[in-house]
Amino acid sequence: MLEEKIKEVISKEFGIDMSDISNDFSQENTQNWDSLRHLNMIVELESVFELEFEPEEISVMYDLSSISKLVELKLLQK
Amino acid sequence: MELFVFRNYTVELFFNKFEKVEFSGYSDITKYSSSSSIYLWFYVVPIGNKSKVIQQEIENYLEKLELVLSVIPNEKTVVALTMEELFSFQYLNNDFEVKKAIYHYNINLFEKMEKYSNLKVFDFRNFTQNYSLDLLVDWKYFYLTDTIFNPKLAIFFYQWLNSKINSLLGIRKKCLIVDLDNTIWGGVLGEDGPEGIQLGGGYPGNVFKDFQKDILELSEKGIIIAVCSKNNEEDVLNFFQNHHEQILNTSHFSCMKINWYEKVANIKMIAEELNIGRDSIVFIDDNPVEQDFVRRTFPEIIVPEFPSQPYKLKLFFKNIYEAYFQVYSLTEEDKNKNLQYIENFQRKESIKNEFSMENHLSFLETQITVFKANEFNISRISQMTQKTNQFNLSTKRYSIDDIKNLIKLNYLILCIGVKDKFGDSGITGLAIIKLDLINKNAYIDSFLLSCRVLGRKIESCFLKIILNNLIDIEIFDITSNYIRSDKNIQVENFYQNHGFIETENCRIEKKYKIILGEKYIIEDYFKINVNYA
Repeated sequence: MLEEKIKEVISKEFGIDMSDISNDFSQENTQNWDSLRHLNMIVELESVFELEFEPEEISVMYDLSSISKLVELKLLQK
Repeated sequence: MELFVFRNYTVELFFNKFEKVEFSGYSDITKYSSSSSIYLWFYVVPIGNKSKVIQQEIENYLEKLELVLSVIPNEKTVVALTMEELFSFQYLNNDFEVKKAIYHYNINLFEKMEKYSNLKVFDFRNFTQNYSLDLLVDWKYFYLTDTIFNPKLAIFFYQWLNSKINSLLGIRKKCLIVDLDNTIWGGVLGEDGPEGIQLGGGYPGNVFKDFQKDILELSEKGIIIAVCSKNNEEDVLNFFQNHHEQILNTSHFSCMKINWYEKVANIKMIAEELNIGRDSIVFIDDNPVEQDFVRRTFPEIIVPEFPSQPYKLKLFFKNIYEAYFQVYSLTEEDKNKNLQYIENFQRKESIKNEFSMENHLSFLETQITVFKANEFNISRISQMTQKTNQFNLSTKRYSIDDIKNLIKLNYLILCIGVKDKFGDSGITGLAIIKLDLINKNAYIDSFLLSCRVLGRKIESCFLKIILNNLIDIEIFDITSNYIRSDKNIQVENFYQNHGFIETENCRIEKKYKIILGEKYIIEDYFKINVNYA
């Protein structure tokens, strides 16, 4: 469920089909993952999950698994 | 529309809802797209520590703007936003350098408009005032990326800027149609009488007077004003003429539909007579049932939710004005538009009700509960006979003691409570019937309904309920009458329209009879509950 919601955000932000987002999806294998899109994605995740990410967290959220882990952790701490 | 943004901070995230937008470099005016149709000058107060430096920086922005204006061709529009304080902080309380610089910047923008006709200034405070500074500026994003505005407000900024740009392009609604009772004055004219209407004076009359001034202002800004109200036309016209606190008068309205037909039919006619599209209409009415019927019949018409407290009207007006009627500046034609429509207006009284009333009624899920008079409702019954004027066939007034007496004399007293998906209107209908059980006949002494529930066929349903009740107790021979008053002309033909035969007709009274047969079938969009306990 959580993964699905995250993939939805990513799909919207990077213009990729949900089915094309593999588990090793990351900045390295995504062409248009620039700093602006990165921030847009963060803003979107923050509002979808009603969370605030710290700058230190934002700077590591460059692949699907770290994004998922972090969102999960933050939701638990809420 | 392509937008090019000159900026001094990162604002990309703030513009992420715009489709075609390009940005200059930070504080850089040397490169810009020549194909854009609108250039936005979006410089904000620089964040810094030394007020002298900030002040110089702001001065510097003005010089840059001057340069931009001198090179951008005159047929392109340059929109500048006023500079607003984003972070109010003084090391010394007597240091107003930054504030002065901001004032100077804004004044200079206004003056530049005189020199450059393609420069338009939008008051950015109109946007920022909706948010606290804590919300407006997100310091995390600021220190991460130089993003000055909170990206979470991007959608609101988009809506705001879009409506301002529409105002620049002259895109707006043409016509405001208003209801009257509880909309442009407080109270119901037909019920409360002219002396009972709240307009001017203290609260809430002062609100309605102010609201009328706002509407008048709208008409002076080139918006056509029309009336659509369920009322007696003569009463309304007299009221407009004679009430000394009235701001609006009949000459301000390009079209007036004051009758008892369905509002959707009237609104359709207004659009046809004024020759405007229905998609250029905003309709305001205090009644959610009317709002909903119009909204669902004509989805292209804007029908805002009307505030339930009068004091909220000021903000209500601001919101609908900014959303639908704002224009950047007025042309001569705008100024005269309302007048032209008034001159062209010709009245057509014929009407065809081609709208699906049935659909509307079934949507409302109306529940009617029938009660007999009892100690709990007796005061409401008496009150209804005292207060109801318009839908009242005989206008007989009864005190509580009178009602008690009628009960003793075995009169059948029925009332109805009406409820629908929008709420409970309470006890709103009453019939008083004199029974003669020996000779097996009955006389409908009083029949009345509060105007809150009119126009939904509840009156017919209630009459059928009563007649079915009489059939149940084997009384088939019924008489009734209509007694004319100043206010009840709308029900003059009520009994006739329901199969009663006129037996006498003099100036002040009509008498009727009917012989009942089969029970009446009640439309299945009404749910009837009986509570005779």
